[in-house]
Amino acid sequence: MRPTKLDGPATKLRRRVHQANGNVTPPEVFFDAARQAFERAAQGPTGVLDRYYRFGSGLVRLRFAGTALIPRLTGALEHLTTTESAPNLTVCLWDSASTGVEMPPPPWAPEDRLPRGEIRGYDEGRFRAAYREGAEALSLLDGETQCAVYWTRDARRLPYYESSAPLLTILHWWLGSRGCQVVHAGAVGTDGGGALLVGKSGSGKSTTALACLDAGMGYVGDDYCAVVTGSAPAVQSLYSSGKLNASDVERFPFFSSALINRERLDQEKALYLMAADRPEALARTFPLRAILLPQVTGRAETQITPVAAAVALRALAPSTIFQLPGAGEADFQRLSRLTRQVPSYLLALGTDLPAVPGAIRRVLEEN
Amino acid sequence: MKRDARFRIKSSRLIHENFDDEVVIVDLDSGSYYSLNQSGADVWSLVARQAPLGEIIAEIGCRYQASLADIEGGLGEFLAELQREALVVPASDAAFVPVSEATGADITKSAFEAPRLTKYTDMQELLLLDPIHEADETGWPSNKTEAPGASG
Repeated sequence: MRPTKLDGPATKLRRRVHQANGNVTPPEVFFDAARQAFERAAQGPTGVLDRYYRFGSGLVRLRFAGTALIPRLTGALEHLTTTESAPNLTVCLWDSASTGVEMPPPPWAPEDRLPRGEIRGYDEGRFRAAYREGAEALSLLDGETQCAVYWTRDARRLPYYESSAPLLTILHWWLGSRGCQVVHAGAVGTDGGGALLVGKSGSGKSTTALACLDAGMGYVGDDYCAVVTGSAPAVQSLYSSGKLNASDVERFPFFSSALINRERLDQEKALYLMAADRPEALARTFPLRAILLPQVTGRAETQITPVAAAVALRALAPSTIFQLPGAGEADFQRLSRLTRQVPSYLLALGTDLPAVPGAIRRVLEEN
Repeated sequence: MKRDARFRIKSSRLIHENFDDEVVIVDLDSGSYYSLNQSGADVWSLVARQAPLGEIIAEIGCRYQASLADIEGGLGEFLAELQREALVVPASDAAFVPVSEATGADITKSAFEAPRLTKYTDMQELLLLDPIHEADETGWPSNKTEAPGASG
């Protein structure tokens, strides 16, 4: 295959990926073999089932070979369902357990799998690949044909976090190519605009986001969303899911009907799918007015104080970049620009949870 | 440390952003990230241009109220720490980008706080979340866990 405009110098040197036995398999050959495996899986009794979802300006078609992955991966996307049918990206999905079709063996050596799951030789340029062992899931993207593949061994073994944030890696790559940055952040807002909730796990993002949802604010997400960068930053919804520590479930009894894994709270975080429970409160997008850094204080009163852009970048960039395969300089620069454009605040969370949404509304009104 | 000693940022895997009073550095390989205070940010900018140590000392002296001895002492410790953290390395053959003439005569000097590096390691676990399993007959790693019951 001829080099494409997407191939940088490093990729040109790494275009040929070695198998363990020393044979050479170009990435395009492996990608084609993966597509052919999908087509075999699609010959099963249920054939292919298509679902369409709108992510901002982009339309995504999910092509499921068999039904096993549908309940695992579409619940958190339900709010973005559309009847449009001219996709910008097509993702082919199957699992081996229900279809009987295996993924061709990986053409890379074990040591080519890097810490975030991305694969050396597939970490930039036209073809991207990442394998997450915890989920036993492979993500592939051909940036030229705008076709992706998602495969897992057994849909029944997908961990709850794959259902909470389905196809996160593929969406990160694809949206990034469209100038849209996936961030590890929640987001809530009003008609006039909204705020990112930024911080590492345990900082209070999810609790804050769900408290705002319950107070009638628009809910874009609690853990991951997308930011359209540029002169007028905006946040876009990726998932309508929410997660809480099991110990916090009783603080939100009003969401109990949205809780889908009550019987496994000894092993998993509580996972909520809001599309059926609170569809009117789910927001797809709003202008970005503020970046909030939640911090659990133990004090009664919630206080919001301005912080420097550098503080916001420290809260936003590492947790985003370190968990997204392939994220690097370009992502960091987008996040840096964002923190310079949008004012940031420390959200010192008080124990009086119902007062938190009001404090956030006041900040949004001021910006 | 010799006045003509120069350093360079070690790797393209270190990404950084300069704000007015702070530099944020992210190490893509180790999962650590760092913050430099204002004087540290000034030094970092000069190191990025591969300025010799003597010039860095002079430039900092133009910006801050402190004796050259205090500045040189603080710089020495700071540069040693940057090297220990593998953020900078000696630049014996790096291309030198001349620093523009110091405008210290026109600058109101700030109180000097020794350059300081703060290291954060609370995100390192994100780079190491996945366990590593042996490949099975399909060629793919297998964690061989029981499939949980079906859920909605």
